[in-house]
Amino acid sequence: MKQQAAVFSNSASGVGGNANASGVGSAGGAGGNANAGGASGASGVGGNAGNAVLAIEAQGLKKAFKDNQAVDGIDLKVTQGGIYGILGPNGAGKTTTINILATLMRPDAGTAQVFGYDVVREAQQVRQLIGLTGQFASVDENLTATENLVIFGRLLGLSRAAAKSKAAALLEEFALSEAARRPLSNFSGGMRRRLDLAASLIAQPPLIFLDEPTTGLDPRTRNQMWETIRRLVREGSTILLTTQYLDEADQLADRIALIDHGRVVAEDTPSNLKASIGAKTLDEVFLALTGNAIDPLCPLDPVNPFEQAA
Amino acid sequence: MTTMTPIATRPVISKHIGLGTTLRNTLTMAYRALLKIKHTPDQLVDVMLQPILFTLMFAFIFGGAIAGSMGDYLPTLIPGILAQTVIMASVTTGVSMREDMEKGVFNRFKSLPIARIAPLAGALITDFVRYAIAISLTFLMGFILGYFPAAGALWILGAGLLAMLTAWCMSWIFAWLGLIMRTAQSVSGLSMMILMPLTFLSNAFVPVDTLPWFLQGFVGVNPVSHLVAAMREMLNFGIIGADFWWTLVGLAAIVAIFAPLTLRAYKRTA
Ligand SMILES: Nc1ncnc2c1ncn2[C@@H]1O[C@H](COP(=O)(O)OP(=O)(O)O)[C@@H](O)[C@H]1O
Ligand SMILES: [Mg+2]
Repeated sequence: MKQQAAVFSNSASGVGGNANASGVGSAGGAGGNANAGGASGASGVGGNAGNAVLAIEAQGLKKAFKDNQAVDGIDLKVTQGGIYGILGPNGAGKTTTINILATLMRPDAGTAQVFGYDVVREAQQVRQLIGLTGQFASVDENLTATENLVIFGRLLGLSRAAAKSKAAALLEEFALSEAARRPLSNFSGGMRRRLDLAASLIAQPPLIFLDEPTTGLDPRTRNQMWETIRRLVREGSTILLTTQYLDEADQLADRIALIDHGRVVAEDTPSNLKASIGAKTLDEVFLALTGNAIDPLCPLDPVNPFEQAA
Repeated sequence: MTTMTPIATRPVISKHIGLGTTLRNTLTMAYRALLKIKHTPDQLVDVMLQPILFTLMFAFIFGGAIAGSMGDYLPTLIPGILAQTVIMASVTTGVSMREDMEKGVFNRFKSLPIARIAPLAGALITDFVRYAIAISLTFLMGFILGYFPAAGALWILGAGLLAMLTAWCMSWIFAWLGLIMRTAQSVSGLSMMILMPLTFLSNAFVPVDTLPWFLQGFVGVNPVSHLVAAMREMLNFGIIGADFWWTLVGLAAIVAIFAPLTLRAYKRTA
């Protein structure tokens, strides 16, 4: 398993600072948000959460596509460590929210910070702190797994040799070594998702965005993905994941934001959410709050988010 | 297993991306484009088929009719094919840029701390490889059919470089179209609609004085005509004439207009 010692020290892309450097205008007052879930993964982080800057803070994010209000005033506070789940039906605005937080899109209104850096004004800094695994394959179909990882490594400032060994190590870690030289067109869905995730980990970013990491995977592969995600958290990463699967949010996330029509309708730990309205499942919670069921079986949204918005 | 320590205040990170990093990122993106050519060589097919097919077709079908014999037509034809080939090849730049941006991997590039311009700049560099292949193939077809430019090897090299420069400058137009249009097909469709008349309504394949008067006017101002005339002078007579300079002026104008447009559209999307 890869050693993830000092968070920033081995990303060569000008990331000189160290975690305790202050005087850069801390995002102050971010504390007091200790992970209330206290759930499984947050080891080695929870104790410090009190004085740590928030991994993500968003205020009143809005984004519309023509007259379709995809994100309609989303507030988020995500503490470091642990898994934060954004749960919502197809079209709720999950991907759009992630795209804004990951600096791919500008919000129409509202602000967001990642580790205290503004995602619009300080996008370049934010990009050094995040890893993004998009909803749709975000690797190059035409290249081999190794080539993909080497290119991302080179872009992140690794030397040729370092990029190669990093690629080999990640492929090993994600059980993809066998297929390293094969073109991706022969990859199964699970292998693609694993490669996608591996590609986000090259710079060992402290915050990882996973947009529906298990949609379309069979149960066994999904379990493997869950294990991988939990392990990343044990190593100290913070993970923001979106899902339309209730059980995934329930089992994996320390805190959940339920979103519908671009708004957060509830935000808490899974158990508090259920307790708050005396429901047994998150489905009942969602139903009670929105009047609709989340139905992950409905066909996937045909809109391809990579298409440019006019 | 070591764990990351939590970050107390926001970490100090430099915002600046220096020239060295920009250059390195660009070369990496160029390398990526080369790997793609290596894995899917069929994207070179249009670049390769075009000069072969058109040279054969025009030489055998029209050679007798236009110039009396195929051999006499080649000094007129090959520079024409050369111009058409590089211009068509430059369209591919826009189409493949559009294709690339429609893929998820482009979103990942956008989320990485790399120079914004690198994906665009890398693609524009790798295109030189495609242009070089297309130009070499055209000359090769000429050799096979018996056309050895009278001016000699250095002038072949010179005309080849002019063709390559033309393709690169033109590729800014199609890169821009690629950035502002919604699908790859619409880019290639529109580009062909612009280019077909532009190449055929020029002096590339036929003597201008055989055309009706209203076409002669257009052919005279068509920048493709200047390019073709310039290359004919270079290859057949070893001269750099007025058409050469007009071509450079035209290319400079294209870059002056379309490079800023492209960069602006690119900044907005990437
Ligand atoms: N690039 C886009 N152009 C136009 N509409 C979009 C685009 N991306 C998303 N949408 C629309 O915005 C809404 C929210 O989409 P999205 O954020 O992808 O939701 P989710 O990820 O929760 O399924 C949907 O109605 C979707 O159709
Ligand atoms: Mg989505």
